[in-house]
Amino acid sequence: MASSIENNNEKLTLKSSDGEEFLVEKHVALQSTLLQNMLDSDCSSADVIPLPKIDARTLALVLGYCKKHADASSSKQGELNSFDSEFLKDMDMGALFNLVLAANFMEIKGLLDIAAQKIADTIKDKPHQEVREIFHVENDYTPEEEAAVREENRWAFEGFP
Amino acid sequence: MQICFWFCKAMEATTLKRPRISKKAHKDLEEKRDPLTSLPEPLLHHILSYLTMKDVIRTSVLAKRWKYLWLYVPCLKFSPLKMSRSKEVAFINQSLLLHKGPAIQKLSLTFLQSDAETHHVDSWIYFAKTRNVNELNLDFPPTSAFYRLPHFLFSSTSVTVLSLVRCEIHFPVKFKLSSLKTLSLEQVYFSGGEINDLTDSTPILESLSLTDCKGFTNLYVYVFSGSKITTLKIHESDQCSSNSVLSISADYIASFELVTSMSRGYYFIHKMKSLESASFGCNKVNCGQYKADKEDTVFEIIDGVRHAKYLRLCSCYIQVLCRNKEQRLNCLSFDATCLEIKTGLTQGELPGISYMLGHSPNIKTLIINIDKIHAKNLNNNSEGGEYWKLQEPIFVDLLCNLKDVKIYNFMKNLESKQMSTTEDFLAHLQNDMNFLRFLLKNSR
Repeated sequence: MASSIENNNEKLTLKSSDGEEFLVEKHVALQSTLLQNMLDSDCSSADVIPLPKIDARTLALVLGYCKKHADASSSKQGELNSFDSEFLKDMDMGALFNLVLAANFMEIKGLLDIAAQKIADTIKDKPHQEVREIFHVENDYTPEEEAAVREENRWAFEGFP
Repeated sequence: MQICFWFCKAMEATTLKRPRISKKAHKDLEEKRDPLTSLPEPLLHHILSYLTMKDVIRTSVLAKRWKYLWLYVPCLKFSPLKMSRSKEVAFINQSLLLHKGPAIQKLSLTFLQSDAETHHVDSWIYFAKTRNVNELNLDFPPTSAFYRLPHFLFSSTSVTVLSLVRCEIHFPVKFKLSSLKTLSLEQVYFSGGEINDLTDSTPILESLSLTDCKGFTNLYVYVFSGSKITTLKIHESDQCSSNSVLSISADYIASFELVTSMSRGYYFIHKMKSLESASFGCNKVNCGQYKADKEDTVFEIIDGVRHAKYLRLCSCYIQVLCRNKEQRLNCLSFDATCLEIKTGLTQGELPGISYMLGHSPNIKTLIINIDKIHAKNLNNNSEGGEYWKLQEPIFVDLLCNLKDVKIYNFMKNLESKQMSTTEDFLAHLQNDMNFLRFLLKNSR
């Protein structure tokens, strides 16, 4: 497994919003376009890169994802796919939203895509009342306004309560 | 060396410096209400891009922020609706008419009903073209008369990905798809022109995939040296005329995949000098049925991809390698570092597997994909162990680079066969284990 990283021992430190530090191998960090751009433009001269929007729990998950994808070579796509589908399984909504925001901020396309897909799958084919409940959406429509919006788009509500 | 069996999934623990578990993070989560609605708009659009338009539009009633959000989504996906054709057409018309986004990234249209109302489809594609659509996917049902792509599409300067299932293509006299990078055609009927007209008119095309395209007897694919095409996939499951020809000349592509039933009379595949990845398969559920008169063809094909770093072969190819190997194959040597074989590990396939292993001195990764196989030479399996024992002297120091062995569907061939007795089952298991024992013993 370790063959691809033997000649790249450079490490950098990332600091989460709640002050935890994570020591990360450079090739793992490069999964993030944000970090890649920072390294390319030599902003990394500082010892610690702060990530003020990402808490430690989320950052640990993000880096777990990056490590797996950085260590696997391109011929192991099947393995990565099964890792991806396991990765978000049974994750609670709060963690999932933190993850999607972190992936968006750090520009990790693969992670952003699977997290967005997971949220979309939760919305799919469900009546809007159920979607509201799952995501704690605060309905700020009056009943009359809601009925009006529904009427405007009624062709999309066929077959739904 | 590492052997992993892929019927159990192991998640690797990450080794990270984590001095303490923060409780603040958890608290933040609980306090944050309505996390979905508070996402930034581009992220919401990204999430909505995985939904069909019916689901997307229904989000409008969730809360006020959602009322107009759907009007600006950049990806519009229409999947078959459970409604009459006329209502479906009205739904798509309405959705596109109201759409306010300045550009459309992706338009996907999938139809189940065959009643072709081509002028509607034309207008939807026209709408997408005027909004500089990047990705266009059209999927028509199997029963319909083929929808002919409108000529105005062939002058698009924005389309980068085009994916068509069961359409008709009739090329304009002169055209250019100047931004097209990925083209995938499945059961597309060519009523005027051929594949090479396409490759000539798509200057930056990188990936070309052809699955059971119709309208020509012989399939010629020429990728000239200045072309940007790196990936070529050809799948042919239909029975083709025994006089017909498949000829591929793509010297500079990096990845090549051919799945064929070998029903054509002639297959010419010119040497691909820059090839990195090659994949060959048949499309039968149970493979191993190539006719004897195709053996020479198979040898030529494999000979042409000897230098590929990644090589994937189905059992049909392995079984051909088993036969006549003394006469023809002594000079063959493969550069592959990763070899993937679809096999049932049956007696009739062992010499072929042995041959591939013995002539791939650089192999680092071996992937065995176990599947039901119709081997032509199904002897009793008790000889399996003997076979690998006899091979050992030949393999001294040969597999010294082998690091990774992956076996997918281990036991699958055991389940699928009708095992009459426990002894029978054990004999099959023994056969598979013998192969593993051989690998472990002869690698480092």
